[in-house]
Amino acid sequence: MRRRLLLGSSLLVASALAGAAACGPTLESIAQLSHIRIIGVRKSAPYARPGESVRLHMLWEDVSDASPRDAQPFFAFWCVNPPGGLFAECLAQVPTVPPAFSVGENFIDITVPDDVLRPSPSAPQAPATGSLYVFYGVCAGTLEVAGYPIDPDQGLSGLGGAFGAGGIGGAAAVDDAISEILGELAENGQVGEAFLPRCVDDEGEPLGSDDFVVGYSTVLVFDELRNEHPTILGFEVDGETVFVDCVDESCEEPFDVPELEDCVPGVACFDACDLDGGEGCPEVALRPLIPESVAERDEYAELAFGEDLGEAVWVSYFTDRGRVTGDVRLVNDAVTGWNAGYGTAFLAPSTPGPVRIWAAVRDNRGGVSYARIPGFVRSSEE
Amino acid sequence: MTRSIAGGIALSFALISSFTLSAGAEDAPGAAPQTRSGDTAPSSGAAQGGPRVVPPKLAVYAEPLYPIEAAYSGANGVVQLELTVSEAGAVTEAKVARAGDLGAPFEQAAVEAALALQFEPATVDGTPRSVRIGFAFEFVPPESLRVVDAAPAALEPAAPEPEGQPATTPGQLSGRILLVDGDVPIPGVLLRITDGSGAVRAVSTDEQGRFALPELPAGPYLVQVRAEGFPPLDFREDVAAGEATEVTYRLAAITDEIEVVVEGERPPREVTRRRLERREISRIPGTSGDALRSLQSLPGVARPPGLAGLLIVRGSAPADSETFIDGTDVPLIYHFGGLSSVVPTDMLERIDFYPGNFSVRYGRLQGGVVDVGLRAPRTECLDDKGALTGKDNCFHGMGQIDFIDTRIMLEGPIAGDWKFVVAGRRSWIDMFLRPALEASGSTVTNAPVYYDYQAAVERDRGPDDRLSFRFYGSDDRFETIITNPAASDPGFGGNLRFGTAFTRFQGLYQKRLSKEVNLDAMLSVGTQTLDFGLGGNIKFVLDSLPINMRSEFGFQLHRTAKLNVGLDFQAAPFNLYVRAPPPGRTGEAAPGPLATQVPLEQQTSGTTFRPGWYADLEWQPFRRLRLVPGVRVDGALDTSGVDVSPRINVRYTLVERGQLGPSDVHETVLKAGFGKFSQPPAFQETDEVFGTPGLASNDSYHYSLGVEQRLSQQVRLTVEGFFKDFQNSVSRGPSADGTFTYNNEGRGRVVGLETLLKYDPDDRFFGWVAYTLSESIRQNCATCPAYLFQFDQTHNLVVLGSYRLGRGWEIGARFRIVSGPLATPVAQPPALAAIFSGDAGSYVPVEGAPYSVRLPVFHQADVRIDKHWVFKNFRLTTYLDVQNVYNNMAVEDFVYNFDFSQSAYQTGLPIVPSIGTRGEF
Repeated sequence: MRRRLLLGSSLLVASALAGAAACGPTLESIAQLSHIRIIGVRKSAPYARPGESVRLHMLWEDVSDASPRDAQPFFAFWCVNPPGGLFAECLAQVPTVPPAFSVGENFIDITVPDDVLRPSPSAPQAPATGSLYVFYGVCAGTLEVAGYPIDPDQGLSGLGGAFGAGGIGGAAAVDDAISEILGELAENGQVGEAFLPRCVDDEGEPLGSDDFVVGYSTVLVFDELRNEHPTILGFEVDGETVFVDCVDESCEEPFDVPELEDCVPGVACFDACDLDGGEGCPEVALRPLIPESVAERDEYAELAFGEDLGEAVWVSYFTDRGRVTGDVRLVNDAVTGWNAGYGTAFLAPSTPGPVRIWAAVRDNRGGVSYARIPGFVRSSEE
Repeated sequence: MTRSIAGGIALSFALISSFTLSAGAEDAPGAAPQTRSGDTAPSSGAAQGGPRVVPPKLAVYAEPLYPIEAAYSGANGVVQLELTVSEAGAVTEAKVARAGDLGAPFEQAAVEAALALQFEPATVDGTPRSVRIGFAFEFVPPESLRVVDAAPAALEPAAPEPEGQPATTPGQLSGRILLVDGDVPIPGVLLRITDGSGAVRAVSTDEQGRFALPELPAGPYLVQVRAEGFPPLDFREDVAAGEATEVTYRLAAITDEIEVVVEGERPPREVTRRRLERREISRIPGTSGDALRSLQSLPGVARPPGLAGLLIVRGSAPADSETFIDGTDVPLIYHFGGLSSVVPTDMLERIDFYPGNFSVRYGRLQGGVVDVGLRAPRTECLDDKGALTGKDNCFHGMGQIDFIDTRIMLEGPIAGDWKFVVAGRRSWIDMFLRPALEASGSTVTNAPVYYDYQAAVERDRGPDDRLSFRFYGSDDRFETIITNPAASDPGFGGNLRFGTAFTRFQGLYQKRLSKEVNLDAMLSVGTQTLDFGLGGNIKFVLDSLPINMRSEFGFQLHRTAKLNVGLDFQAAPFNLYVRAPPPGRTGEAAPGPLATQVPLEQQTSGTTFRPGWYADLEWQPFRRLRLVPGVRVDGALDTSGVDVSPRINVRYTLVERGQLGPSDVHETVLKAGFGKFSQPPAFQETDEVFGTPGLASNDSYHYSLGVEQRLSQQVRLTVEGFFKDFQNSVSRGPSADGTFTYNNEGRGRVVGLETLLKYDPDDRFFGWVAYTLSESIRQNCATCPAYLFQFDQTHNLVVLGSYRLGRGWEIGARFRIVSGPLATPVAQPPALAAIFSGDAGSYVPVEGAPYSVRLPVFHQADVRIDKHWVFKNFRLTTYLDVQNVYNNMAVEDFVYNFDFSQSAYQTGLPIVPSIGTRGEF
């Protein structure tokens, strides 16, 4: 193993060294919002228990030129403990639980099966665990599930409205519909992949990533272990606390930008930069206020590996105008601990007007919190 | 008239005894008849305790006939021959070793006369033996054949002035003798000037390297330059009446031409062994003089991606090839994946590179072998111009510094036959990488730094009695906190820790136990540590105590057959801790971001024990045919497997040198090989947590067929086709539950053609053109679709050359054009290229067919300029090595935006100049 691992680790280190010295092409940054984007999906509990009901909320934004437009969020759940913990196995195998869908809402409620827990294959001393995979997305066209189009008002066409908009229809209808779908899939040699909705335009052509995003989240299940979401206490811009538009679930509502027409007290205010967020623009420091207590001990690592590790915590920044210098910043390292310098810097756009900035703080155990601040870019001549 | 001068300039003689088969008539073309390490018995001046050797004694002299057709020119000179004298004293073979400009008639005459010579045979401990000796005839035109030409430019020797006539105005021959490097004058060089009548004059150079013969009769002269430490040189000069002829001769010190490794000579037991000379290694542009990086300019070696210092040989995976230091495998050959070799060039005696079909001496591998030999400490004394004085017991030192690292070395005598050498190196890259890493947002705990060190003591009593103890090692360290995690996977952030170190204490013993038996043994013990971590998800700590033992006995069974029997044991007690996500497998769906994967863990200790036994027979049933059949048996305690690997290599000299005439240098050698090569599965492949227990070894079958053609004294052409058939390869396939597991159902093949046109180094130039055409295919199972192997390179052309301009300047250039690397694309529209991972906040690519896209062609030129100065007792060299001189942005891979909807090319390093200087005494 050592020879191959040595080669691999050497390559990684060489890449790190090369990355420090090399310049790559400039591509669209994850921090730059320009189309449909999912900011995050927050579970009611990062670690669930068997039999527990878990709600998943999705924060998504459509900042495309076509916005506002009819974009449909959706959720789909049919997969428990896929082989190898691979999400792709959910798409390659028959459903392990009856499929559940939610169309048109920003959330879904799922129930953790009672028999989900499995012992760790590599660490017998580790607590038994289970995993549920929930798929979701946002479509700016017409959704199709298993080849059936979803009417925003009528649900799945051709299935008698069994999968209605806004949630799942009556239990009997669902069972019948699923049985019918499963039968068709089996005949066609299809499996779970068919349950992943497609997004097509008016001509039936599949839409690309500007108009359609698909994602997944894992709900980890333990008997005893719990994990708390990170916490965002506020937001600082240039060392000053500013107004926060929303935090966590409150951000699920459709974005309602304050009708800012100028800088007002308490709101982040930036001077426009003729370089339009480019190198040379003044850097304005900003960061969410995150207490060090969010970095919990990783109990699973301690029980499974005997390692005293903390959570890995990082923050992702987003903006709809201008640019941030660091799109993802480390908040806490599992080994070396807290990084107080997790903030980033904002480089203002050239045109005055409102600007929106998001921060999503995640840990490596399924926890996430997000916050949003409104800001205003004033003319540099003011 | 001719004269035998065998006693005067016969170079040496070497036994072709029954136990020195390899030094027989199959010896490499162009090789001087000098005793060669490991090939021959000692000369008459052998070390004490050796066999008592009596050289042959001339009994019947045969005078060669002066060629009548040469009478007009009055040519004179020496033809040096290589004679094989049988046990009966007869000359059974005569080859021309050197004839200057005399031409074929003189060579023919010398050979014919030599075959008529009779000797009292040589004896070894009283027993007559066949030997090879040097012998020379000096040709002087007989008076009866001299032709006087009225033309002033005639080349006839000066005719004696008739008595009573006024003497013809004499001419003058004068000049300087300089070192090739630096044009430094060489004092004390003896010049032997022979005129047409055979009269000899002698003169030595003064402190300025000048000589002068003011009163020379007009006519042609043979000027022989003889200086210890320099190869003998002969020149032909014409002295005109009343004129001064000024000449300048430049000599290259033998010390600068010490053969570290020479490419292309016939290996004794392998089909192909690539070798490079020290000058080539240190002067190949783009390598900064690094020995192992120079291997990448040879045919059969693919260009590795970017900074990765991988050795990709004949379409095999990097892990299929291994590097040894005098038979001991070392865990890495490059610092930080390719910056420089872990053993500096200065410490090398040789690099043997076997691209395939290697002999049974090496096993557990199915790629190629690099066996590096550390050199013996030097104690020869040099004069203040850097030339050998013939004395011993002197100390030498060296210091070198460039942008990457600095190194020092000291060597010299200890007592008696014992010598020592110590050397060390430390990198400087932390000086400039620390700010670069910090500027990129990282907190650098330990800036990247590497060390390596070597120490050796050696008792050298000749090739048949050598005892050496070495201690060497390497240490690479790097630790940082990546505070800007990758947007594509925040798991690639946080604490990045990398440390690898190894030490080896090694003993070598080579001894001729008797006339028929020799022993070559090596034992090494050492330590090995690999410590790698990334955040909390990846941790790998390996501590092991590798023990290697090699021992080979050679038995001379018959004049035509030698049996080699050896063992090759590896054992390594180890402690291992691994915490890592399940390894990704080709063809398997992406597991999602590292940041969200639940790692697996393995903590284990034990001992790997892999014994190997081998035997091969060097059999030469005919002078031109050489067969080396062999078999190797390997065991592996950790996998409970036994591998039996039969192999055979064949060489046939189709056209011998000299076959078409005494001055013919052409030689044609056909070569072929076949063998089985088995390699045990890697640890993680059989581990119960990360892999699949019960796997068998990978098997491959190597076939090769080629021809070596010497086109001239300096130019050789080698063409070799190869084919590798991979069977029972460890592969990956879906199991019943849908996950991928390892199995032995993999298949594959590599087919290729290597061509090398090489100009061997001479006083001024060396260079070559190497071209490899190949295709490397893999299949995950017999019925699975075939795909191009990750490191497949269809075309690989390397052109390089280096030329000494004089006055210490040397300039070289290398140009490479190579098929672009392979990349795995992401799904193309209308399919989504990636899926969002809500837990990581990043996107997981939906990959297309593995390695199905060929990136643009790689091409790059490198230039190197050296300047060499020689001072009194000190030599200084400065170089400028510019990689990628026209700043081509070579494409190494794709890079994508956050959701893989945009892509661009990731390019490699831009133009990289490197300046270094080196001083030595």
